[in-house]
Amino acid sequence: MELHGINFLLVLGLPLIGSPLVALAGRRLGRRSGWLALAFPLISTAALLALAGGIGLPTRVVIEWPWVPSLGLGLSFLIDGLSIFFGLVVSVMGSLIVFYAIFYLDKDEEHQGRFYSYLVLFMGAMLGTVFSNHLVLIFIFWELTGIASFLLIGFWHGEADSRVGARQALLVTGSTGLAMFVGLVILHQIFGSASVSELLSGDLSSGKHSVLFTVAMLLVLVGAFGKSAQFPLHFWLPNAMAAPTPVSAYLHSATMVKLGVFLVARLYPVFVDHSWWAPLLGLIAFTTMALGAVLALLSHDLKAILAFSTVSQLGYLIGYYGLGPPDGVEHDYLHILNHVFYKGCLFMVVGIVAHAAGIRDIRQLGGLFPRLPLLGVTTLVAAATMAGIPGTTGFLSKEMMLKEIFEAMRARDELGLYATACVVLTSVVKVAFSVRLFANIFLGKKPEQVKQDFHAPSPWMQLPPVLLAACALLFGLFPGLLDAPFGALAVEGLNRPQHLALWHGFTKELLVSSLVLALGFGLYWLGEKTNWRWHHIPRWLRFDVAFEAGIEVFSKFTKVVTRVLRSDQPLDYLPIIVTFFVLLVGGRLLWQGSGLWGSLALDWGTVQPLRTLAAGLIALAVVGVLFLRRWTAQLISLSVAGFLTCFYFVLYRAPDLALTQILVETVTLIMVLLLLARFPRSAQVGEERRKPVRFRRVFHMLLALSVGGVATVLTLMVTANPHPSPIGRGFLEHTVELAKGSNAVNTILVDFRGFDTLGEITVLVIATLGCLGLLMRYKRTPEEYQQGPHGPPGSGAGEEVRE
Amino acid sequence: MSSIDYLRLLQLAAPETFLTLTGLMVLAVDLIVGRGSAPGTRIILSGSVAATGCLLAAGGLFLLPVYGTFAAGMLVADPLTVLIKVSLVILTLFTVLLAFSDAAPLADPGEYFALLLFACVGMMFLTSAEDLLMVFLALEFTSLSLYILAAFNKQSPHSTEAGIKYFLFGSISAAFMLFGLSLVYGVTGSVQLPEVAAGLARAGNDPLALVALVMIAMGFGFKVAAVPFHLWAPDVYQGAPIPSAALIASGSKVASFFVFAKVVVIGFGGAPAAVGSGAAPVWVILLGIMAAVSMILGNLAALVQVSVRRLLAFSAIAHAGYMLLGILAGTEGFGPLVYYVITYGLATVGAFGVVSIVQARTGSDRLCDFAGFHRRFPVLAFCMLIFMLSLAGIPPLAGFFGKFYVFAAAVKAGSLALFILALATSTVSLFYYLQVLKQIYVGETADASHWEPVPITVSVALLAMAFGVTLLGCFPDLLLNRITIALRITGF
Amino acid sequence: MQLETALLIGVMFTVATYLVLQRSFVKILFGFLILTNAANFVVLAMSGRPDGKVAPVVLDPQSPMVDPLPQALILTAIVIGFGVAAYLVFLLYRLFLDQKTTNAAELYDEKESG
Repeated sequence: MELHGINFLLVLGLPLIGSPLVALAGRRLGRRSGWLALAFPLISTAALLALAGGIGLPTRVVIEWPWVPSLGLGLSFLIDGLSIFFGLVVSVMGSLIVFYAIFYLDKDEEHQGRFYSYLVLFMGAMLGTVFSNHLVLIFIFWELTGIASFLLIGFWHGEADSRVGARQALLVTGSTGLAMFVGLVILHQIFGSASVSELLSGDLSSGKHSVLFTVAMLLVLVGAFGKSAQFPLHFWLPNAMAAPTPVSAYLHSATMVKLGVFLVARLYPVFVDHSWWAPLLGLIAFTTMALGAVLALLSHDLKAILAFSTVSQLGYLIGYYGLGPPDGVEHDYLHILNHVFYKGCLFMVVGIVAHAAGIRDIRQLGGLFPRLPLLGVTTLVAAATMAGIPGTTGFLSKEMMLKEIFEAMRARDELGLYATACVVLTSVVKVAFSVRLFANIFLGKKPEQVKQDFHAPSPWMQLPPVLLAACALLFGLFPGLLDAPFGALAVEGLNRPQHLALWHGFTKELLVSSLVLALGFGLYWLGEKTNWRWHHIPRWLRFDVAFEAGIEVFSKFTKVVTRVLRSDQPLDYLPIIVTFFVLLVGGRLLWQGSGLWGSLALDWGTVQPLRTLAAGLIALAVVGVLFLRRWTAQLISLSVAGFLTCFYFVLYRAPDLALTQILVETVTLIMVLLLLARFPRSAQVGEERRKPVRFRRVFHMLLALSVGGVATVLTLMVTANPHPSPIGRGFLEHTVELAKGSNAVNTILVDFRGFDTLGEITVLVIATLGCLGLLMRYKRTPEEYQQGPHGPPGSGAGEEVRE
Repeated sequence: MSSIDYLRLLQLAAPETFLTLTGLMVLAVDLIVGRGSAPGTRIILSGSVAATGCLLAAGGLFLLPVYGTFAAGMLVADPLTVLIKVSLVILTLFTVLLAFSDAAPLADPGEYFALLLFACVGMMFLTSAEDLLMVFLALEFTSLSLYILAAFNKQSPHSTEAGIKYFLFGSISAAFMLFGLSLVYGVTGSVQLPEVAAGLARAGNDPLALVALVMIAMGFGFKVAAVPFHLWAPDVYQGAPIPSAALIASGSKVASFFVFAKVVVIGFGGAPAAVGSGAAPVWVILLGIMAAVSMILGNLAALVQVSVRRLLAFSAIAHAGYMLLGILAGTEGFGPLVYYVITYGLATVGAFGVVSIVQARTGSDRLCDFAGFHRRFPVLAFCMLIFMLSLAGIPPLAGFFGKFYVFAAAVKAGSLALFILALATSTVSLFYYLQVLKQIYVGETADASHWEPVPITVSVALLAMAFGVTLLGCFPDLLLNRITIALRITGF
Repeated sequence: MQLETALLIGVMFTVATYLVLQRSFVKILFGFLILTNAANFVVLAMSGRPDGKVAPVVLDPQSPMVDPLPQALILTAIVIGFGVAAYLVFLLYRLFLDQKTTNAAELYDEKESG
């Protein structure tokens, strides 16, 4: 366990730690930082191999370090066949890509350190995702790959294409990743475990019938489809091709886009017996496959062709899991590996060609074979693999796929039929564009422009694609070589034992294969004949355009929302709050209905004449504030109300309150009087002239009335059933014995709750401080001094006075 | 019921007393030594006294905590409140340090620092109150200090304006809250939270309880800037002096959310399962709507802001929505909420710190003013990166764990729809936080090289906060463990 | 139940709300003062009907007394309300000195035109 732990740290920890180091060292090393970066994937590969040997496949090992125990969140990693397979793909491809990039990037390219740093970070994130054993960790690393890819796609952020592509990729994969997270959280809720290994090995039958389980599956699939560019979210992948070619080769064909495939494979045992699994995967994935292939045929940009063919192939991979029987699939590793071989190779070739010729449009290329013989042969092999010519892994993959769908056709009628149609169509189209890719780059006449711009690429740069093509050929010719590793990597519940052979005899599949090849060549011939005139992507298939338009609309929408809601007049806000209050509380009271009104049976007998008189007078004085015109008159009316309040307090048997109220009322009166004296008359006059709009006045009145009504009803309700033994009784009982005072209010204030009183005093101190601050800091200008003690004339009177 | 033991009170309220005394000392020092010296000297002088006071208070609270209850819940010091108090004092300390850079508006550093300390004391009292009357008193205490802090910059008309807006909303919300509290007293006959809970359970399906809660929610909703009581926030965040805005955004939020949760969880019967008060489902719906609208509105409005301070304000509104999820989760959500609000406070003060640096040098806080910041202050730019990403909830920063923890509690409590909404709006939020970072890192800039250097205290404070955010993100257990233990001891 | 107190509270809240919604700072100030008093009355109403009871001063332990706690609460509220009101008064004065206006609408009109 210890050894595995250390090994695993080398696999995953080193790239994550190494990424910032590369960036830092990049300033010094410049172009050579690539060689430093190369160390990380190489070490990861070696450590992974050692780890795979060490744990004794096909067992399943969980390595765990505590991280946030209180959340039940540990750094928990699951080492099994599937994760090691994907881990190896990531790290081996990583090595090849970094090596390729060292020669690919221009010498004068700035920020090389940053580029490699992102690349290494991405690799670490990928490794983290495939090895994570905790659902939250999966999510964290999953989004980290998205962010790293964002940084890499946008690496040349000077170019608009780059920025748009990067943003689309981030938005689509990021938001679908969140959907996936929701799905994972629901899974956690259903099964009570966030650990993948427990989900895989535990007994899940209990929770599987709930609706939530279906929701979780759908959400997880949304995440997988987004990352793996499945219809209708496939549009981001071609636009992400604005990235530098090594990035496209690595992220967008070999690794990151396969995360969706990985997730589907990882949770295959959990979901496979759900009745929606097969139809859903089959329909969406095979549609994607056919659509991607057709779009690839309709494109002219080298990278676009490859991008759409990747989309198509991803559909193929995911669809394969959809067809699988509940006890596991056989050849998923073969399909994935096959794609890695030829697509990685073709991307790098295209990068070299575009680099050498300076052109990426296939219609303007041709006749490069004499100049690039090695690359030509490589491309031939890779294209043959893509087309599925016998002797390559592509052929094996296609044979096995055909076998599978023929079986499926027998078992599930409509779906099988649809799958067969899609696979055959795709295969034909794939043959056509594979031929086109090779023939139109390397054969034929060399156009003038290519002749002028051509400069030979470094032979080292050609090494990685050659290696990949060689693998495709080697394993295609001797498929038996794959049996042992695939057998070791097989995962319980996902894979069934399998055997691969080149020759299966004259079977139905072989017949179909040959037919497909013939048709494919025919399609290519047709294209050549018509000069590919009909080749352009129709507008209704441009999902990316629709997406951008959607974003535009959203941004406009937010602007409108903000403008509507953001009024700069704070006094417009108050009605909103008050309305909210009235609706909420008043609505609730009305809703309560008759039961409530019953409890309010008015008891006129309780009305006491003296108190009523006082209350009436106070109300009169308060209402007077509304109707009196002059400020001072209003203030006096207010003070009358205040002093009457004292009397009212007395009637309520509260002498202390009355005393305090008198004092406070007096001081307030003086204070406000002083304030009003400072305000110029003109201000008051101006105010009287400025009448609010009638509508607003009515609205405010209604609001005010409803607030008053609500307040009355509430008070009545509370006082209707006085509480039998409020806490205050306790104070009364204890005031003499404990506090040695007979006035309960006093003892409460200074003894039982002396603490509040301390608080009050502090509040007053702070208020004083604030007031002093406000007063002292104002420095009058000489003109203002000349204008006398009243300060400058107020501008409340409006225009004429100010001028 | 017993008579008062003043010695005990002094023991329990020692940090508060100490800070109050420090505040007075700051005033005295500024008055005696400071008058006549240059403004810069005065800031350093009174600022250092205030900072030292905060440091000592935090240290004292941390190392020699005194636990106990005074006068039936008027002042409760348990591990949880002490934890919150420590974070409050630390947030205040950072705010004080930030004020060092805000040279121009600080004409009266002594008063300003003293008020910061008083505000902190108010929040601490608020934290320890388990008695509705004390809650009201402490809330007013804090609010008044904050009103003054918001309007402190007399050179700027925006500041006065911000002050008056804050004041008007605050005082009206406070009046409603007093109404609500008195309703509670009327229904239950008590003001102490545990007894209120018992009283509400007895009262059964009483609509008044709900109305009271609505009114209390209005008061707290105002303090934490949750929709629809958020309207003051953008103006105050933009208009008030930056340290004041930072304290309003961080400390005040920490204290208010803590007490709000306490009132709801203890007083109103806690988790939605405890339908003892009968009204429970309705208030859950109510808070749920508040949370949802806050998240949506805050995030959408933040997208189109040009001023970074307004952007932070709207993001604060959105975060208030996320935090409400924690309250909705009841007892389960208490710990998450505390963690969230503390880490949020840290990141927010940091972000405001960076804004203050830019504003002091360019005279405004528009997004485009941040261009070139990376080139002039690479380290501080990196700090801002951390603050922004933490606010956006990117792992492995503290903000991520806060969100994760709160959201997980929400899911456990069964509010799946809100959880999904929260996740979706979090994605939106990433967009505007990146907007700020984009300006800082790749913005086309006029020459920023002539910007004067940043005072050392500000740099240190920013670095410390960035470090804290990262540390709490990588090792959330440093704080989580304490919260969990404190919660267990306190009996949640 | 105290009908007249409830009605009085209603009237005061109505007037206060209406005033606070105005544009004039002076009216807002008055509204605020009334609002404070109204809130105090609500608390006062909680102490129950005072008829036949005496003030909470324990002279004769046998006679029924009104609930003293609301009174203590109001006392606190009055003091705080006073502090807050004082601050508002000075804030308005300050605003007047700085902005030369006593009307919120004008404050914003100017800002928009300028």
